Amino acid sequence: MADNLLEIKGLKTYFYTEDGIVRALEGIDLHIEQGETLGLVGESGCGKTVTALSVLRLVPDPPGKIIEGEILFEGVNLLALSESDMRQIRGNDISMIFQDPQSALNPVFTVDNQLREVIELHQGLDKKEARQKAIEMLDLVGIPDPEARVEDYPHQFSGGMKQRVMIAMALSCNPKMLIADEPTTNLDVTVQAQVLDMINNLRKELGTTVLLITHNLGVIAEMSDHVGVMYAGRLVEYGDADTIFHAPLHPYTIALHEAVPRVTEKKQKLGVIKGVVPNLIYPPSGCRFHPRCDFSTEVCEKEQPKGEWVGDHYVECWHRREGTKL
Amino acid sequence: MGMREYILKRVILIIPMLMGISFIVFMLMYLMPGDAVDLMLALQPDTDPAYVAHIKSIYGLDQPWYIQYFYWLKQFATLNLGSSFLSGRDVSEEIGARVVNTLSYQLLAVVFSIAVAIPAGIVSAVKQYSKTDNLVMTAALLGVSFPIFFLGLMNIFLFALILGWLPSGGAHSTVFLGRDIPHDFSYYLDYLKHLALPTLTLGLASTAYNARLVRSSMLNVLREDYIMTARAKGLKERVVVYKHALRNAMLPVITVTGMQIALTLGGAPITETVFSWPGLGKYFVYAIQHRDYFVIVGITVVLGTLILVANVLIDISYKWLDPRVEF
Repeated sequence: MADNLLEIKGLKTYFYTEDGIVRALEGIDLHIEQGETLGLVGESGCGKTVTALSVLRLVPDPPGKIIEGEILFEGVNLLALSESDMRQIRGNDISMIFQDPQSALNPVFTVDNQLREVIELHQGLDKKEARQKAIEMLDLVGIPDPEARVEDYPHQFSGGMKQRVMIAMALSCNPKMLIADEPTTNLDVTVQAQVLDMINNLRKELGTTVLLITHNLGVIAEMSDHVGVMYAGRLVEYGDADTIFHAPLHPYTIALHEAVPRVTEKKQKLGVIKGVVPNLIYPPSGCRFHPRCDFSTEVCEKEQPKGEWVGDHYVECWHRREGTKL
Repeated sequence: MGMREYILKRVILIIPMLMGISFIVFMLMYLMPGDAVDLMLALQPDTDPAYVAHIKSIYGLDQPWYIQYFYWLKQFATLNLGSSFLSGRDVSEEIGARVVNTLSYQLLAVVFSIAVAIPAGIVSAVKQYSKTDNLVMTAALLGVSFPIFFLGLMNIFLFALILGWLPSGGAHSTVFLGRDIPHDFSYYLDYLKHLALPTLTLGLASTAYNARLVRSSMLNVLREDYIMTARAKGLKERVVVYKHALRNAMLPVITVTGMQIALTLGGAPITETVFSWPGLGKYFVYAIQHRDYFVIVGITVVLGTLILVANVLIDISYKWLDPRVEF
């Protein structure tokens, strides 16, 4: 097994709201190997973004707090770092791009200003050099005429172009890890493919490790080496992409696959996961998926299933669906 | 449309606006019973009616109001505001003698309000629900709840009567009144002391409002994605708040400050009456009481121009703050 760039151990992140404690992450174990792309999938509200924000220690506080666990980045526990040491890591070693490029760039500053900011901060370049670097980065992400466009404001770019600018910004300090939180969800389908291709090419070129968060299984299939499936604040299944797509063990993962339309099959009806995402203030007892699971029994209601490793494949379920072929 | 054409258009638009304002004011003035001559002769009811009519015809007061308006407008076209019925001096001269007094405390109050409200609002927003936040917001709630004249009286009570630090009214102490007083340092220091209470009173009222506005605007902006982007870059919280958040949070504050300028200038009669401040507001009240028509219209036109110019400046500052704004 290759070296792990990032290792998350027993991470719990809670939100203390007026209605009660939202247990957004209830003990997550996850690792990302050097140079790979890890895809993190799950429904809205399952804790994908909170996981990413926890890694950068940017969970809004209040109301959010990381309660326990360790986040080891190159062996260093990020949760034990001082705030100023953590700032050295943000944008420099780990950077992040967000779901909505329309609102992720500050509307009142030029692209030049926003790109230079991070370059000057972490690379110690002066204004002129940083500007040159900014132009290079825009060129790298395929923005035509970067010398002129660098002076433009975000509203003068299209959605896809803005996401390219975000990617240029995120990669400008040559980070070891890029966290991409639903990077294509708000883009046109044609642009989605372009942006994904670009992320894929750049990561190969620059050797960047990528944590890709999405609820789109198609995107995961195209991009990831490993896949983590999250449900209601737990990691329920983890494995290499091939296994997760062709021989998943967790009923939730299987249900997710059945809910995706396929060109190769003439299905009249797509699979539906009954019920709704659980309220994380009062999560279901035992296995958090049991109220929606077709295979649940008494033990699922009572006890949280122990996660089990079979080789490189992790699954957290009392009734693993051995022999599933998709 | 470019910035230059936009400003030009706005400046040209001031002319029809002033015509509209003056027309309405003229109409309203003549709805008030009696004119300047009637009031002057109120204590001599046995004056010869023929003589009264003669005096009125000299001033044109025997004409219907729209004819009078027409004459006034003709004069106004040459930038002549006419002369006061009471003092006989030119209205522009009378206004010129007072406009500085009004602008001085008005502008200082805006500066004071912004200088206090922005830091207070930011601290309140960044430390939401903290003790500081609660303290600032309670003070702000009290500030917005009191009417100006009450705040003014309380300030006089505290600073003039109890503490005795500041004079309670007027613009100059008696020793500095008179023609031959040299305008030296002590003269201006005395003026500043008199300026303090009107400034503070007006400033406090808008500070309270602005602090609440800055706080809520800041809280909105701090939830934006680009704030998270800025933090994810590894920027210091100070840079995130003062560079990335503040400029965006200022947009609604600028809008409201623009409207406040109109409100506080319009409120000048109240503020100046409370502090016996020799500015346009107090003179305006006096002119209305004595039916000094041209002074009333003159002050209205001057205040109107000031407000319109302030609005143009506000619009220009939008463009400067937010590149998305197109004229």
